Amino acid sequence: MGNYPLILVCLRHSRRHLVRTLLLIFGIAMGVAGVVAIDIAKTSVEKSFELSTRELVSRSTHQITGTGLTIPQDLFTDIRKDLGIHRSAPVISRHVKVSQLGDRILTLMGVDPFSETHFRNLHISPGKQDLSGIMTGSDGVLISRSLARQYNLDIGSPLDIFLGSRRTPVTIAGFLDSENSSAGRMLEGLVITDISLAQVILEMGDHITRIDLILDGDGPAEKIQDLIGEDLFLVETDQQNLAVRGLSQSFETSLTAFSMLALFMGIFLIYNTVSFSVTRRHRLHGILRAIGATRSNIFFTVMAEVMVYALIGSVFGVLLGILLGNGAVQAVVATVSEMYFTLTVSQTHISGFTIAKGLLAGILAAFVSGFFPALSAAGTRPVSLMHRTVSEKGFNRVVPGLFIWGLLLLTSAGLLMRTAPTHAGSDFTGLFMIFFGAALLTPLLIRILVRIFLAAGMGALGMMVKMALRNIIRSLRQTSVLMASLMVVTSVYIGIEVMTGSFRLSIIQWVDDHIGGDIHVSSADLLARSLDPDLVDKIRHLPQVTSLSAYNIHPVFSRASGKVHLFSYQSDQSVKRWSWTAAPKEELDALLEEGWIFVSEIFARQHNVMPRQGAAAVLETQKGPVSFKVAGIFRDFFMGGGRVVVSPDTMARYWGHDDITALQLFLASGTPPEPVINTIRQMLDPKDMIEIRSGNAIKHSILAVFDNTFIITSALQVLTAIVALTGILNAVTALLLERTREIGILRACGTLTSQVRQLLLHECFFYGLLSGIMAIPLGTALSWVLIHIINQRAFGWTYDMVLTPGVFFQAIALSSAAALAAGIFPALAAGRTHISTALHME
Amino acid sequence: MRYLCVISFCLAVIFPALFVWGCAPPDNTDRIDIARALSNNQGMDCYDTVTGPEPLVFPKDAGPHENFRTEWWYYTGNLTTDQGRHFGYQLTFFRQALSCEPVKEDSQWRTRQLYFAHFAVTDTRNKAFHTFFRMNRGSLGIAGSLAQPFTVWIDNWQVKETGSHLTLDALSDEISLSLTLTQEKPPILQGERGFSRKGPGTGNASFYFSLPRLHTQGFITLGGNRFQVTGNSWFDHEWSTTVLGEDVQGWDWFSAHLADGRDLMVCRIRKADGTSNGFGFGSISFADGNYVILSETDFTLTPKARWKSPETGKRYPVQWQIRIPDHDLDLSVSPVIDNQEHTHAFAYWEGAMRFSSPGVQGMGYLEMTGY
Repeated sequence: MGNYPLILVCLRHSRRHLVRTLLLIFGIAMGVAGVVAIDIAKTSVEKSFELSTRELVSRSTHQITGTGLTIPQDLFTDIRKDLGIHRSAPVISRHVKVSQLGDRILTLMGVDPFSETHFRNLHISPGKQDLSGIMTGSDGVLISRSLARQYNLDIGSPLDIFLGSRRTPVTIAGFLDSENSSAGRMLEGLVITDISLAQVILEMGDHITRIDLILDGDGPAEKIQDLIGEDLFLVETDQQNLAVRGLSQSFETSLTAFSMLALFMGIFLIYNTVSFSVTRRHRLHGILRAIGATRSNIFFTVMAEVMVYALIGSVFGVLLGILLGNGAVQAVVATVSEMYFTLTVSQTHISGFTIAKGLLAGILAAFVSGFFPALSAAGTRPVSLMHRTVSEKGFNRVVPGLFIWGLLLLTSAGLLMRTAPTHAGSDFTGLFMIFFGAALLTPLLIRILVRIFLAAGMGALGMMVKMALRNIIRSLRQTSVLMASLMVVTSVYIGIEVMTGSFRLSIIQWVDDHIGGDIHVSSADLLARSLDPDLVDKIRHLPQVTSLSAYNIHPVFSRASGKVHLFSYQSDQSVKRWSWTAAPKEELDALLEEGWIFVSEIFARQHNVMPRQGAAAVLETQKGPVSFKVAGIFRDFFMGGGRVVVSPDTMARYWGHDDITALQLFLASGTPPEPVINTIRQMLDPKDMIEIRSGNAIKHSILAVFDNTFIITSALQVLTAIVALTGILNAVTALLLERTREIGILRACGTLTSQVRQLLLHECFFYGLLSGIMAIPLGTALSWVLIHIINQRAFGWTYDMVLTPGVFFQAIALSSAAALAAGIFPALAAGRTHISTALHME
Repeated sequence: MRYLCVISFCLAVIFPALFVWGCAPPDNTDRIDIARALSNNQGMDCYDTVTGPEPLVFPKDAGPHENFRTEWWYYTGNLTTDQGRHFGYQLTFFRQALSCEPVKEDSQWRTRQLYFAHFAVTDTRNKAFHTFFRMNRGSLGIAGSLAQPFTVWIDNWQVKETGSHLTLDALSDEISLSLTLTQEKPPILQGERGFSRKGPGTGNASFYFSLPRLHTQGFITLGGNRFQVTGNSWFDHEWSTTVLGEDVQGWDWFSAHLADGRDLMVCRIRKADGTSNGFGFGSISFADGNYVILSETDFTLTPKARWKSPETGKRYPVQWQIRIPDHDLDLSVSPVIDNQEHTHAFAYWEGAMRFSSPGVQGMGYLEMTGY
C-alpha cells in the first residue's frame, strides 16, 4: 500500500482534532523559539563584542599596554624613530558617558590621524568645518552621523562627556561615516578625536592608553620587547581579545543550557501528544493493517504526520524566536556589559545558521519523540485492535525493566557530570540523561506511590479518590508518560527557583560581609580617585563613626583577562567566605603582610589558580610579571577579570599606589546614616567629586544588577512553563477523550454527569500531585546541577544550595493546579458524553 | 618649484577632509581645483609672505621657517655601482603649517606643523620604480626639522648634518637607502638672491636656494641585496606662504649634472591652456662653483614623446628637448624608465633622466605635475 493515501487519512484525522494539533504545533514552536532566541542573543553578543572591541583594534597584531593601563607617550616616538616600525598607532581609549546621547556609554577614542592608515577605516565628513583646529587646540570631536541623527545633533552641537561625575564640554566637529552597515554600527559606539584632545579630556599628562602595532615575524617583536620597560607589556591582540571575550562565554553557554531545557520540555510534549494520538488511532491502524497496510506503511505515516507538524511548528518557532530574540539580546547585552566587559554597541544579529539550527532542533526533537510511538503504532496487530488492555498488559511487564534502565541512565549521568566537568556538551547530555532516566523511573514510582496512598487510607476519602487512583495504575502506559512530563516540568521549576533563591541569599550574605558599612564614601572622579587624607582623618574622627574600612581599588592590566581589580585594605572589616585557604584562617593576615595574595574565585578560574598545587598567580606589575603565592581563594561576586587582595605594602611596592579610594563607615548601632552623610557633605568643597551613599542604597543597587542577570533565566522559566502547560493540556485532553467508551459504560451503569466530571478531575488532581511529589528529588538534583555545575562554570562563583520546604510545596501546588486546570475542559466535555454514542464504538 | 607638489598634496589630503583619518588615498584629487585653492589665503594671516629679497643666512636658513606656511627639503640623485648598475633616488620632506589658531599647550601632541615625505628608488636594470609616502605631525619628535645641526625627519626617514657631510637614511619594508652627501659647490641663491618669483601677484614667490652638486656615496638595499653606490645629488630648499596665480595648471622642472662639471636647472609653470605663465626660471652652475640665473627667455622646453600611465591614465611628456642657446646647450632628455609616477594621494611624475647633446652627456631628474 502506498504511504501517500495513508498520510492523507491521518492528516484528515488530525484536522478533526484541530485544537490538539494546534497545541502540538504551538508546543514545538515555543521550544524552537527558546533555542532561536537564545542563539540570537549569543551571536548578537559576539557581534556586539566585535563591533565594540575587535573592530576598534582593527588590523593590529600586537598592542603595547602598561600595568596601570597607560604607557608613556615617548615610547611611540622611540618605536617610530629608533625601531622604524611604521605600522604603529598611538591610542587613547576609555569608556565615557555622553549626556546629550541619552547617557549612552561610548568609547572615547583619541587617535593620531596620520598613524591610522594601516589600522582603522574612519571616514570623516567635516562638513564645511576645518578640522585642522582639532590638532592645534579646538574641542572638536567626531561621532557617527546616524547616532547624531538619532539625537537631533548637528555639527557645532555641544556635547558633555562624563567620566564619573567629571564633565568635559566638547563640540561636534564632524561626522563619522561608513561604507557598510556593520562598520556603521561600530561607529555608533565611538566618540573620536585627536589624541591631543583625548589626552586633555582624560588628564593623562604625558601618557597614552596603548600603541597598536602590525608586526611581521618575531624580529620586530623582540626589538620592542627589548625597548619597553618592565611595567609595559607587548601582547598579541587576538589573544588579548580572546581572553576578554572568554570572560562571558560560559555565561552564554549556560543560557544555551536553559534554552535546551525548554527544548527538552518540547520533546516530552511531542512524545506525549504523538503517543496519545497513536493510541487514539489504535483502531484506525488496526483497520489499515487489516486492509493490507504494512508495518512500515504505518510507521512512515505516523512519522510523516509528526514531521509535517514539526516543520510547521519549527517555522513558527523560528519566527517567534526572532521576535523574542530582540528582547533577549537587550537583556543579555546588558548583563554582559555590567558583569564582564562594556559593550558600547548592541547589535541584533540573526544568522542563517541560527535559523537552520532552530529548524533542525524542532525537526530532530520531533523525530526523536515521534519515533517510538510510530514504532509502537507499526506494531499494531490487526486482531487485537479493539483491546487497549493488550498494550497495557505488555507495558506492565516492562515497568521493572524501565526502572532499571532509568537507574542506569541516572548513574551514567552522574558519572558523566563528575568526570567530564569542563565540557558544555556533557552538561546537555547529562541533563538529558537525568530527565530521561527519571522519566523511566516514573511508572514504577507511580505504582508504588498509589499503593502507598491506598495503604495509607486515602481510599477511605471516597469512592472517587479510590477509582481515580486505580484508574491511574490501570492506564499506566499513558498516565506515566503524562506524569513524567509533568514531573520534569515541575522539577525545572524547582531547579530554577532553588538556584535563584540560593543565589540571592548568597549575594545578600556577600553584600553584608563585604559592603556591610552603613555609609560608603568614594571618589566619583574617575581621573583622580584618591580621597584627600585630611578628609579621611576628619571622617574617622566623627563621633558617630565607630569603625571604618579604608581601602584602595585599582584596575590593572592582566594578560589572562584584560583587567583585574586590585584591592588593598588599610583596615578591613569585611568577612570573606573562603572556598580554599593555604593556611589556617588566623594566619592569613600575616601571610598577606608577607606578600602573599588572596584571589577571588573568578580570578582563580581566569588565571588557572588550582588549589592544592602550591598555588601561585602571576600578576603584571610595574616590575614586570611577578609570581605571587596565593594564601587563599575567597568567594566573591565581583565580576570582570576578578579581584585580588594584596597588602598596602605590596600595592605600593608593585603598583605604586598608597592612596585611599574608598571608605566604609560603621556607625554606632541605631544611628541613622542620613545626618552623618549630611555632616560629611558639609566637610566637602563644592568642587569635590565625592560620592556618599548609605549602605542600604549600595546594597539595593548591587542586588538590582544581579537580579538583572537572572531576567533572562526567569524569561526562560516562563517559556518552559508555557511549553509545559501546552503539553499537559494537550495530553490531558487526549487522555480523557480517549476514555469515551469507558465513560459511556459508567454513564450506562447510572453514574451521574457530575460524578463523571468529578472522577476525571480527581484523576487530574492526582496526576499533578504524584508528579509534584516525584519532582522533588529530581528538582533537587537539577538545582544541584544548575548551581554547582552550570552556574559555577558560567560565572565562576560558588554558592550554597538552600532548600526550603516552601519551594517544594509551591511546586506540588503548581503541578496539581496545572493538571487540574488542564482537566477542566475535557471533564466538562466528558460529562456531556451520550451513552449511546459512546457505546456505539462497541 | 616643488612646493606646488606639497601644497596641492596638502589640499588634496589635508584640507578637504583633514582627516579622511586612516588616510586612504582620496579619490577626490581630480575634483580639487589646485590653482584656486593655492590662491585661497583665508585664515592664514598669521604667516609671512614672500614679497622681496632678504639676505639668506646659513646655517639658520637651512632649517625650518615656521613663520611661513610651506617649506620643503628636496634630495634627488643618480647613483651607480662599480659594475655600472644605475639607480635613481628621491627623498623629499615637506612641512605644512595648519590654520592660524593658537596652539594650546595642554598636550604635547598639539601642533600646527605637519610633515610629509616621499621616498623613491628607480631600479633601471629591472625597470622598476619604488615609491613610498609618510606623513606625521611635528610633535613629540616623531617628525620635525632643525637648523643646527641641520636635521629633517619623519620617523626613521632622516637627513642629518654630521660634520662636513650629510647623512641620508630612509627605509621601507623592501628598500633602504643609506647615503653620505658631500657638498662640492657653494649654494645657488635662485632668482634674485634667493627671492624666486613664481607669478604676477604679490606674494606669488618663495625663498629658494639649491646645492647643485653633492657627491654621494653609500648603500642601497633592494630585494635583500646591498649595493655600494656613488654618484651626484641635487638639493633644493624652498619656503613660502602664498604661491601661484589662479590660472596655473602645473609645472615641468628639470635638473641635470653634466659631465663637463656644469649643473643645470630649468622650470616652466604652465597655465590651464598649456602655455607658460612667463615666470619660468633656472640656473647654470659651472665647474668652479660660479653660477648664472636663467629667466624664461633664456631657454626653450619642447615635449617630444608622451607616456600614458596605466594606473592613473595621465599622459606625461617623458621625452624633451631643452635648448639654452647662450650656453650652447641643446639637450635631448629621456627617462631611464618610463614609469616613474608617484601614485599616492597626489599623483605626479618624478624620475631619473638621461641628458645628451652632441657635446656633453649628463644625468638628472624631471618633475611634472598637472597632467
